[in-house]
This record gives sequence, structure tokens and C-alpha cells, in this order.
Amino acid sequence: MSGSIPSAGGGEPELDVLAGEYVLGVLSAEEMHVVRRQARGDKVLADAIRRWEADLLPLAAALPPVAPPEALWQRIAAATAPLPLDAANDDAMAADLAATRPPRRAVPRPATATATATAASAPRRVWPWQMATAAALALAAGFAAVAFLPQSGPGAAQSGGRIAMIGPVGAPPPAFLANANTGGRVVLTALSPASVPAGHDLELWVLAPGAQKVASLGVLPAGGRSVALPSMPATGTQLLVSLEPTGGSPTGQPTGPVLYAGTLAAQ
Amino acid sequence: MASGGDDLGGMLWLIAGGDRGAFQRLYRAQSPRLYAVALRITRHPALAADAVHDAFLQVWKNAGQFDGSRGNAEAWLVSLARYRALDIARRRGREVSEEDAPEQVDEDPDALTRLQATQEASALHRCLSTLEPDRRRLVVLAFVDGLTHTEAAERLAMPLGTVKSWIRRSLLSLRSCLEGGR
Repeated sequence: MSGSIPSAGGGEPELDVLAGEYVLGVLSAEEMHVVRRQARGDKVLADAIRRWEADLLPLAAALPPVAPPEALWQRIAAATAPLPLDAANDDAMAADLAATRPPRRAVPRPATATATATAASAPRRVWPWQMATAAALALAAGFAAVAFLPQSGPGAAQSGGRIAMIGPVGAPPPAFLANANTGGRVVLTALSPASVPAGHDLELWVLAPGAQKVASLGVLPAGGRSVALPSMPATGTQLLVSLEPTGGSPTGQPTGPVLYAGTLAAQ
Repeated sequence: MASGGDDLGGMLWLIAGGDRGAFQRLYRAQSPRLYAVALRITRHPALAADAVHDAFLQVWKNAGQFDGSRGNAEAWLVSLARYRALDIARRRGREVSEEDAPEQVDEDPDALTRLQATQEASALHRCLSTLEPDRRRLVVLAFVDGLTHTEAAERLAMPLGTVKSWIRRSLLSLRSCLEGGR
């Protein structure tokens, strides 16, 4: 490595060699640091690094496994242990989904070389949206459903109109009605008051069919709001509401419990 | 590539969801491999354990950031441990390990043989085979032992410039060969 980083898109073989040197491990600590920093904002370099990592993986995989010291897992388990509150509730997800119980405290994280002050103080996502797979979603919906109707439905939540959600007797009432129009505007109307603990906000997330990650649609006031999407969301798009610190998730992904969830249906 | 029958991507998914059971299963399944990688690079059990420790903490914290559509879960995992081991080795220096009777010092003459036995590795093996033996040995040594250009030059008693040039040309050649096989 000559000291300067080839620019992305310029000499791609140069960039690829640099990525290869980085993955191979022949660079000095300083050079590694420079490449790592550059890769954060340079997708071409980041992709080249990922490609080399996958290409050279068999060399690492071919090493005979060596059992690590027994105590290592204890160290790791201790460093990642949840607070007692979390441990007590680890198996009680279903029961908790319906409740707007006080949010869990942030789990202290060990500092790592890459952790920023912001990230280090971010709460560990104990109730990640990832749990909201189809099954979990159905579960969540059973406790506190959000109903989503298309724009032209007769029950569209017009201001001043009337609306009823018809569901199983005794089931908790839906929290919000979401109404998406063809232009991509989604109006969320609160159907029953959501209690939001002090120091927290509800945050609205969208999960497109087949997508692996939710995208934030911003903080959702307890009374509802309207949000603009680029186009009308597809049938099967899920909307999720999680409990987050005031101002919304600091990480860009849900950090608190998913309290409400529902799936857009065509009329 | 196969990894003990466990679906790594799925396990990372569960871990991102805070599933401690999945996290422990991942540790049981993968830590011997990550430890082996880290041990070769750090040449010191305690340092290797530190590298694996840090890697698993990153897994616990960042499993949700792993993007299956853009990367290989196993490569991601192994790389976490490798980079931590490389960082630690670079920071602590090799002097420590030279003094503390390293567990595995010798070059690994079997690396290529074992590679050959792994079916998934056939592309890499085939492409490494196209390199001249000296250069192939340098590339494998650099990767497995995590040697810098300078360290490789010392180890092989070669001029630094030659090492850099060999590595560079080998990478270009490997890339070309790997692309051609796709």
C-alpha cells in the first residue's frame, strides 16, 4: 500500500488489491485503520472487502478447530447478561406484548474500539422487531391489533365520521387505524388511547413484504398522525409500533417492545 | 459453506432478537473455529480468547446489522474474530508471543491439503494452485498467520519490496481467476 487510498470507481483493480491486502492481514495497524474508516463511507471498497472475506474464508475454515478455554463463555455471558428485569421476563414475551409496561433500562455495554459514545449509551434492543415474524406478529395482533384499511373503504377514518372495528368479543380494542391512499399517504388514527410512559415515544415502522429490515416512519403521537410514503404500500406491508426513548430509536432500528402491529390488506 | 448444520443466518436473526439460547448455541458451534483462527494470529491463548470474546460481544450487539443479502454469515463471523485478532496482535506486538512459548509456531504445511479436501473451497484452491509455489505459500502464510508485509518479509527472509509486489500480483491473479470461475 502506497499510503494513499485509491478512490472508488477510479482504479478498481487498485481498490480491490487494497481490499485484498486488508482482508489478507498484511497491512499495518495504521493502514488497517485507514482502510476501515474509508470503507464506512465507500460502498465499492466495503463490497470488495466483503468479497475477499468470502473468497478467502476457506483458508480460515480449513484450520483445525481448537477448543477455547472453558471460562471464555462465562466471560462472554457475563458481559452480555441482561439486567435481572430482563432475565425474569425472557420467557414472558407473549404476556408482555399487550402491556405498556415500563421500558427496560439500558443494559450497560462493554466498550469496544468501535463504539461511539452515542452507541454505547443506546439501550440494548431486548424487544426487537425481529421477533415480529409472522407468528409473533399474529400473536401481537391478537393482543393489540392495528387495523389497516385502504383509502376508499367505507370505513375510512374521515374526520368527524364514525368507525367500528369488529373483532373477537373480549379482545383488546385495536389501538390505531391506518389508512393508506394510492398516493402513499398513510393516516393513522388513534382508536383507543395508548398510554405512553414518561420519557418515551411511540415509533412507527414499516416492513415491506419480504423485507428483512424495518424502516422508521418516525415518532407516532398517541393521537395518531399522517405520514407520506413514496407510493401506496403493497398489500402485506406490515406496520409496527414500538416503544422508544423520547424522540425515537437512537439506532435506526427498534430498541423497545413492539406494542402494536398490523398488516395492510387490500379492500 | 457448511457450518455444523446450523443455519448461521437464521441464528444471527434470532440473536438480533435477543435470543440468548441462540447466542450460546452459536458460541458452542463456532467458538472452536474462531479460537483456532485467533490463536494462529495472536499465538497466545489469552490474547486469542480476548479476540473471540470481543468478536462475540460484537455479534451480540450487531447481529441485527448483518445483511444477509450482501454478505456471507460465516465470513462475517470469522472476519470479526480475525480482525480483532489482527488488531490485538498489531497492538501487543509479536514480542510477547515470541517469549511466551506459542502453541503453534510452525507454518502449516497442511493448509493447502486441508483446503483441497473442502469441496466448497475448490475455487479458491484451484486459483491458489495457479500461483507459483513461493507466492502461494506467502499468501497462505500471510492470511493464516496474519502477518504484515514486514513480518512476512522477516519470516521468509525476503526483501520487503518483493513481498509487497508478490502479494499484490497474487491478489490480482486470484481475483481474475475467481471471477473467471463464476
